[in-house]
Amino acid sequence: MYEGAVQDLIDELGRLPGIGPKSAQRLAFHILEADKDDMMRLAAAITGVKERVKFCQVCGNVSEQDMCSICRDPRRDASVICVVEESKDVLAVERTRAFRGRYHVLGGAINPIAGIGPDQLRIRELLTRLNDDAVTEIIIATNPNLEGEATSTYLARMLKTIGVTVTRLASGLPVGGDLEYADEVTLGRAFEGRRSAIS
Amino acid sequence: MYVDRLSLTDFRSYEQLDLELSPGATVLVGPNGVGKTNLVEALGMLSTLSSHRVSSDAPLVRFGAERALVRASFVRGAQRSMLELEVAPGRANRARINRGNPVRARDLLGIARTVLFAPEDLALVKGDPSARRRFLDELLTVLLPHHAGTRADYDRVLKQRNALLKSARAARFSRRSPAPDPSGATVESTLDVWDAHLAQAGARLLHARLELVDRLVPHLDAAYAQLTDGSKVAGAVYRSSVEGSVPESDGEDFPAMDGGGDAQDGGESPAVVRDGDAAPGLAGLGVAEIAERFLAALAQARQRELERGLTLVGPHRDELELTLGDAPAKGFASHGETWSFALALRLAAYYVMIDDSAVAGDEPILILDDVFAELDAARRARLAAIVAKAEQVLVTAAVDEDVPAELAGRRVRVVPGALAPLVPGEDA
Ligand SMILES: Nc1ncnc2c1ncn2[C@@H]1O[C@H](COP(=O)(O)OP(=O)(O)OP(=O)(O)O)[C@@H](O)[C@H]1O
Ligand SMILES: [Mg+2]
Ligand SMILES: [Zn+2]
Repeated sequence: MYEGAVQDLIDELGRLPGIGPKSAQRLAFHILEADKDDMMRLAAAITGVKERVKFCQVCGNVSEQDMCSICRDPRRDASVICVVEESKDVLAVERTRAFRGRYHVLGGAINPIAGIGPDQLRIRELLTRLNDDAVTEIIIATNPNLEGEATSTYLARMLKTIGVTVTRLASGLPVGGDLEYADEVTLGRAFEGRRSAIS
Repeated sequence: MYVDRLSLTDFRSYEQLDLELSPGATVLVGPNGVGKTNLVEALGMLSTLSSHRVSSDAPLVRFGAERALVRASFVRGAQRSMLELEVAPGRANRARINRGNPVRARDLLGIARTVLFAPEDLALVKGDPSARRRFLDELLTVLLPHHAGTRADYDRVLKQRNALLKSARAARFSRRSPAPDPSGATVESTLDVWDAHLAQAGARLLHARLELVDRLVPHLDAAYAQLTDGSKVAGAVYRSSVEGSVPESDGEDFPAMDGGGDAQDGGESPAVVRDGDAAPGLAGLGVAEIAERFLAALAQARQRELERGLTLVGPHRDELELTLGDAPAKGFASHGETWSFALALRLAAYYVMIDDSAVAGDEPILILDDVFAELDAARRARLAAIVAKAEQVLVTAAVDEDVPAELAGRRVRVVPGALAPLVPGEDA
């Protein structure tokens, strides 16, 4: 145990995801020895996000205003909603420039072990958005792992009765990769999701 | 195939060991506790990735060391494979093939084929159903490595589903915590989703196990006849909880309460069908049809599962029922018969692997740890005659007299010691 402020810092850092006690200690001493201005900027950045950044009231994406820039943008197609787990997934899809609709951020995936069920996700908010007739298609883009698939199944079943088109992103082999290096899960999914080669 | 070199670093009692081996029979002789089983345990791990003695990795690492390394070089026809497995408790084990970059341990599956006979095998006949399920799944992943993924998928869905059932059960019983309780409707619809995923993953595992049992059973009968005078018929039938034919109690959920297969809750004990057919309704069905049966079974069990907070049907509750003559082997077979049955199961696995060989020199390495001491003279001679035909067989024994003359191969005397614990002994 270290004294006062240093130990406080180690404890706080240790609560961050992916940071164990050893890393927390290393980071704390780095901060202690680093240039003061640099570290004050870090502290200000943390204060800044916590004070200014909130979540878009419509889609749940991070935003500095009540509504995020995508929801405010009139050029975005209001008839298609892409459902993702986290805000960082919005960035990932945006990078593709392939999608011109709007998003809905669930805030996670169904994960009973972690105590997350549909009620802990922003699913009710999604249903509210569907009351607006403008929406005709939902694209489910949850992660291609067990929890993401379960969330996708849950949403697909629920939305079936509402009368919108529901699609799921295809998951398959990474482009540019070699078949021999694909793990069996990816390969298995790619087989299940195969499509006609004669179009 | 055969192994011609085995190296251990910080594995069990060995700080460093390098052992040269050759095709044919090798007998490792040495007093109790000297480290014979440690050696063959290491070799077996390269084929199944787990120890035949312990379920956790910690005991495998030498006291005071952080990780253990098992390395061996296998020769299969004209092909040589160098396998390396790093065992590090608390971390994912890693592997290397032919000195390449580190890969997942799972990637070793299917390369080295060994069949290990050990005193622990008695549990295959006398023990909980989990021992027999493990036997099936281990053989399955050696034959078809991608089923390691099938098994892992199923286990993950099962864990999630059990967590949901458990929290639903807790919510029912605690009226006082109002806020986070998921409403009954949400629980039911979320369960439906997990049911679908469980049935899908489970059907794949069930289908693979049923096919494997079909391949195993003829060999089991033949192997038992070879080992004994052939007066009794050894059989095995896969009883799936998906068919509702397995008694409720299962050693895994109540390790301390397992009283030998009686139903312990609710007095509900579906009668075990004994007509000799493989799980009547499931035999011959495809994966999709099994998934449908699975869903139906889950629907039927839903209420009981909510009460227990546990998934009660699925391949994790199934039983490979062993029969000897007209009686179940468990609880009826004599000690000697139980031993013969356990050996016959391992031999059957060996024969299935031989059937499965795609190229010459593909047949598995046989490892017999301390088994001859347990057998009478007649069965010793019979077993020795069978295994002596293998391309390579490794035998351990505490004293020379335990090893039948048929296996008069190279003898290696095992002595304790950290650096060169093996001194090539006088050839027999
Ligand atoms: N993790 C470990 N670190 C150090 N020593 C260990 C470890 N695990 C086991 N041992 C030692 O290894 C020895 C057991 O070795 P092993 O089981 O191979 O004996 P054996 O030669 O097969 O004996 P037996 O004839 O009784 O079967 C024991 O003395 C035990 O203390
Ligand atoms: Mg031993
Ligand atoms: Zn928004």
